[in-house]
Amino acid sequence: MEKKNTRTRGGAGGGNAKRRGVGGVSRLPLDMVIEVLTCLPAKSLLRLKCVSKLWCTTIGGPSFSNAYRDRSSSRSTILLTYHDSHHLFCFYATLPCLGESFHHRWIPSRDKFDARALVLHHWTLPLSIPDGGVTQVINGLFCFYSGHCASLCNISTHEIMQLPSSNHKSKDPYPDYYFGFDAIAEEYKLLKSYGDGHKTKINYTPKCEIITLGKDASWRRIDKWKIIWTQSFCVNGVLYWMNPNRRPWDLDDMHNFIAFDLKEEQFQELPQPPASSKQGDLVQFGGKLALVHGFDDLKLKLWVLEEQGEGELRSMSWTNYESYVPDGVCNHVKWWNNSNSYQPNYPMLLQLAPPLHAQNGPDGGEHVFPVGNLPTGEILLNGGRIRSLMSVYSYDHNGKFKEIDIGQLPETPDLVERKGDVFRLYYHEENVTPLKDLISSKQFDKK
Amino acid sequence: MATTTTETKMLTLCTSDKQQFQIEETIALQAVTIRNMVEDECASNVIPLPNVNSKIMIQIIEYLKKHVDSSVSKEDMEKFDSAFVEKKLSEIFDIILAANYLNIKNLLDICCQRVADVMKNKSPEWVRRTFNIVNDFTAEEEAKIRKEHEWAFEGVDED
Repeated sequence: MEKKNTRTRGGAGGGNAKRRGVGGVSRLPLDMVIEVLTCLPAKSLLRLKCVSKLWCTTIGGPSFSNAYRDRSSSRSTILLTYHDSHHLFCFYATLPCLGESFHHRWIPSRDKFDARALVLHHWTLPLSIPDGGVTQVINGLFCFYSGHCASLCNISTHEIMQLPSSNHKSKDPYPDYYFGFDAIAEEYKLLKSYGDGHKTKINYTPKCEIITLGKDASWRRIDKWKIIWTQSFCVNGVLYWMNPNRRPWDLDDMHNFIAFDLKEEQFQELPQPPASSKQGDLVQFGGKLALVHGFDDLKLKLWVLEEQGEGELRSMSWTNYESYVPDGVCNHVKWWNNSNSYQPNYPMLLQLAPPLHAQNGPDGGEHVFPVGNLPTGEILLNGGRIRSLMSVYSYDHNGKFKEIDIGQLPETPDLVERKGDVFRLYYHEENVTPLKDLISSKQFDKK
Repeated sequence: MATTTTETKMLTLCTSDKQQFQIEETIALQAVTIRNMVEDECASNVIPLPNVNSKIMIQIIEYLKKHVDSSVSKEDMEKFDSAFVEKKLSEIFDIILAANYLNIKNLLDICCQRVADVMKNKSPEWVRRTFNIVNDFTAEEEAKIRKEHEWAFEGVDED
């Protein structure tokens, strides 16, 4: 069927085409083959590394991974993750395009599967982190840790790299780690907090260390430290914690915030949002930290941390935004845009949970979690719990609704057991760059 | 040379097999290579396209005619595109070469995406056959790469 056609062999314009290598008889020159390869999911690329030596070095090379990243950013993958102490579960689906027409299906429902629309992978990473944890996923990378051993993982390629261990001997069996990305310096940093002895002990003295991935050979001490109990949330080169000193067994509502600037490597106390917002979840909104407060009277309430003034006079404060959510909120998911007051270019994706019969009365309010962001700043909201069937409506900043047919998550045994677990959704760009290149490429560029 | 002429300006394209195609200039100019030729020199002449044969040219003209029509909705255009690439891979390969030569970016993109969609679940063996590639790995070398990315071989289509 695919008969050789010599007629057009000289037909490639490219000029830099190397006809040798990708089969002297192949009609597609290497630059066209590369065009095709950049359209493939990472999984296919890893498999096709064994096609030939040329394909292997091409796919593993830096110029390909840059081209792939450019193409990948116009593709949309949505990544759903949740974890326990033994596994990290990742579901991800590749959509052909995001942006203007986000009406493609995400995860196929069995009866209306559109094969062109997506590739769904799921991956269960066996972890052995009984007393450890998993950091936020940033650009498809995350760290998982147990004790004083931390590793970096690329979700697209499943590559795992162990990070250097700390020079400082500590008896603290449960250090915590916080992962962040400074987009300006293009540096990934991992912050670690630990102490002498156990965190619960009175004489516990907290210490912090940091490592710039790909740059530092070992951990560096941070002089000013905080006791931190909660996981961080990274927005725009700053790590944020809500109620950092609220211990797992504390029942009182505290509401304090701290920040750690990844560039300056300094902690900072943040003002508290007004007392009316006792509960909430951290999310990014228009490149800023926001506290999503949930729904009340069909309004979505949001506090956004904003900066005023410059230099010495710089100050931070929380600004309240609320907006009516259109009809049908209870069972649906909507794009929402606070067009009358804030950032018209940042619509948000909301997913409201289906009614939680067990947890809410028929007219009971639902607690809605932000579960992620899209690259254009949209917030992904959901009841925050795994369900096999989730559907989404999109609502753009022009006020148009579109349905995103999410369909069904695959019925894996893992998932059945996990229903109701809290998850995060990430917009995900696949990246096939080897970890060692990914975390050190900038460093080489500079020199 | 009236400025408000209703007369449509036509171009003649001549393919590798010496077939001539008369098409409206606005349609042809979507191909950057043709646009450059027209701007540079051969505006009134027959434009030779020695790297495209008539069989492929007919399909490319079909594509360009659709895409010049601004009244087509985005959705219909997407429908057209996905129907357009429903062809045998050998034909898609020829269109890729021609689209690259003529510099029609969107056509190149949808064709490359089509090839990728067909091959994304295929085995390396299938890809070698389709792309006429000789496996230059030793059995050990290949086994090593397969082992490194074992998970990527799950769910591969039967050849």
